[in-house]
Amino acid sequence: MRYIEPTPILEGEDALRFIKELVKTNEKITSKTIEEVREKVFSIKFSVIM
Amino acid sequence: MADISVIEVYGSSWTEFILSSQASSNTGRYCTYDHADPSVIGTNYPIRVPTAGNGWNNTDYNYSYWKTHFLKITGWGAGDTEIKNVRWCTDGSLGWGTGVTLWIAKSGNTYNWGLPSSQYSQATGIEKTTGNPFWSTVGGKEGHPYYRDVANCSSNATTYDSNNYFWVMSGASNKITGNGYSWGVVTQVQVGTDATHGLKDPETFTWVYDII
Repeated sequence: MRYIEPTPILEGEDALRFIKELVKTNEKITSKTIEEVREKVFSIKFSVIM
Repeated sequence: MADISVIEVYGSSWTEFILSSQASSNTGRYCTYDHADPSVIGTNYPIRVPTAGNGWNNTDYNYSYWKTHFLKITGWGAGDTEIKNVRWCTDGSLGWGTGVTLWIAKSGNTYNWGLPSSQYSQATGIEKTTGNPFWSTVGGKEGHPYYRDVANCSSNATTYDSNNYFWVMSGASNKITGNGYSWGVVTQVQVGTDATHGLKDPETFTWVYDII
């Protein structure tokens, strides 16, 4: 992830660029989480004799 | 894809029977014999439905032999590095009729209630009559060595469902990163005087885990 210098006031093109970077970063984090953690399930049947 | 199965362990040392894997699926059977294969158990080792005061240790209850289950990991898929958040649950109810309860053993720690594989212990009891409950400290009828001296080591298993998992192992220190076993789940059926005889229809219990 590229480090973005803190800017006190952003206007016009600068503000737009900042928001685009922010969205891109969030997309990366989201897709990584989904890809890397997968929940798996085993269902097993049991009877009883009495 | 990782190669993972659910196994039942029995015997004086450690004998494995696969209950569920990518390749096979078997229905387990609670009974009064230390074995996991239902084709061996058949209908020859029932839990005797007791009369009042004539059950295990002169109580109103008899028991199955306790059962011990683990996740077994024998292979890893490309990119898979760890398994964690291993948990277990029922569907919230038991359909084996009146007087029948399934108990689950817990070690008392909030997030690690399972059984380390090194603590496996063979089920005990009287074949065709009753198992010893895993919580028993009665001389000559002792329960599971890992659990029996722990206060409140048993819970009704149906209190654990998909909204309230039984945590077998969890957290960074308990993740699995190589071939081997998860911690285990010990369960046991209790039969009261109002239970009915017979082979009951299967109930489904579920293992869930996260692979990363």
